[in-house]
Amino acid sequence: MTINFEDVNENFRRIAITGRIDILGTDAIATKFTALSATANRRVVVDLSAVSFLASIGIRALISNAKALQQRGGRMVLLVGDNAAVAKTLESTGIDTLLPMFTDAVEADKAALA
Amino acid sequence: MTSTKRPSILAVDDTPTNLTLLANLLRDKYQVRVANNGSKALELAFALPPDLILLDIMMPEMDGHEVMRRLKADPLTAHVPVIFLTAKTSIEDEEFGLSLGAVDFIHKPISPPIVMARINAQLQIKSWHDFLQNQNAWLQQEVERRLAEVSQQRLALDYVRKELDIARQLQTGMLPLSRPMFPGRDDIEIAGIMEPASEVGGDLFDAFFVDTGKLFFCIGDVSGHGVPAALFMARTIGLIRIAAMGTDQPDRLLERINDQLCTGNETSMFITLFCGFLDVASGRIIYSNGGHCAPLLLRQGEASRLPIPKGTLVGVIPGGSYIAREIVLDVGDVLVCFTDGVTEAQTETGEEFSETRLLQIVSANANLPLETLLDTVRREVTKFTGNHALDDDCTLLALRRLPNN
Repeated sequence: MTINFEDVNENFRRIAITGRIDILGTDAIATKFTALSATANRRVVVDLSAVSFLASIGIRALISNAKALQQRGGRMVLLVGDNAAVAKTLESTGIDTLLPMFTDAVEADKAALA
Repeated sequence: MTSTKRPSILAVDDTPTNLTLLANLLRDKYQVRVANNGSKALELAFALPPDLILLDIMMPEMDGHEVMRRLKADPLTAHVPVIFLTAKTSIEDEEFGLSLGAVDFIHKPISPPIVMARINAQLQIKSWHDFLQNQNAWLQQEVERRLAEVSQQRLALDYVRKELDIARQLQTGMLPLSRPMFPGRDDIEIAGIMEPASEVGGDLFDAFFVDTGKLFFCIGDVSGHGVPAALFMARTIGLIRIAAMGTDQPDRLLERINDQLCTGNETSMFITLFCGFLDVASGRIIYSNGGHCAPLLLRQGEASRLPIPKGTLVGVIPGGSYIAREIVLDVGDVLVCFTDGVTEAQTETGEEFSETRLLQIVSANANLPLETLLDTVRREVTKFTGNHALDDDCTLLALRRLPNN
């Protein structure tokens, strides 16, 4: 369970999470994830393509941070790449109005900056 | 003996020249007191116990052995190291002196370097001894203090366990778990089971008649499990029951529940929810879904997934809208709702129970009474995972339309 980030510019950040986002995994990264996504007016792409398992606690963390970011005028977008399992999990949640999901990195970036 | 003070030595000898010799020898390094008889020696020792005593044996009135005995008899002076000084040279004398508790024996005429070395050695030993004693006393206190802490913590833990036990009973009491669920009805068979992963769980299911011919049913899964999920579950089941009495449109019901749960939900907890209304006479079910997994439809011995509308999980996005769909449940058909604690139950190697396996087992046991069917599924999950502990709450709800007599 790791979390890394890259600041493309001062308003656009890409966060990449790898591993299992289960109870232990979420615990390990929760604070850092919140800190990384909590800055005002940020556009954020969260890359989940290397996530092997996404539990409901992970979904909660994503929703919670997306909402907080939205309240500050920012936007969060999810990149799943070709990770079919995570895509399927996210699709059934129906949260794409709050957290749009993309398989293509370029599309994800465009949506985040729109 | 503190490191800043010079150690104190009491020298006892009835011969003045010996005393002077000793005093001169020791004065630079130590604080020296002298006594030329046994009584005086004891008086000085009891008044202020020295760090070491040099004791002559051959003295009139009270000899060194007697002084020794008295020193050892009093707790104040019993631990002061005593070195006998004597012209007596027999082994027996030495053995005797040591047996009284002397730490060493120095023969007269004394050799100053030897005396200094032996005194230094004994004082070192005494200082270590004193240090260890203090250390032990402190450790003893620490151990007692920590045992008291542990005892307190254990009491607190017992209390919490008892509370969770009660919480579990209360939660179980909220769900329609009686068998059979509706003993008065011969047109419908329903059974449900809910097994939490920890003492309390975040799954729910419900089934009740909103009027004599219409049954409301639902199944849900709160994000996470344990106490927070259980509280959210309790809140939700209450809201559902009220809402189901006010509408027979499952999509409106989900919209209402969703808006209600979004308020006062700072921690973004959510619930996936599937619900529907069954018209018992016709078999028509109108149903809606909020992020939950599709139930299974068992029709003439074949199980398949019920087509479900897409819907957002409930409780996080206010103002969300939901879609209703319809299906007819024929007589003999069974609807099996479940939560992902069943299908995502894993073996040690990470293999999941899966929907496929659930479909197979339900099909294979299609004709069993529903209570037996659900118990069988639950048993199969345990067999599959090889574990008796669940990773996530497991819930199943099944309903079957019975033929009219």
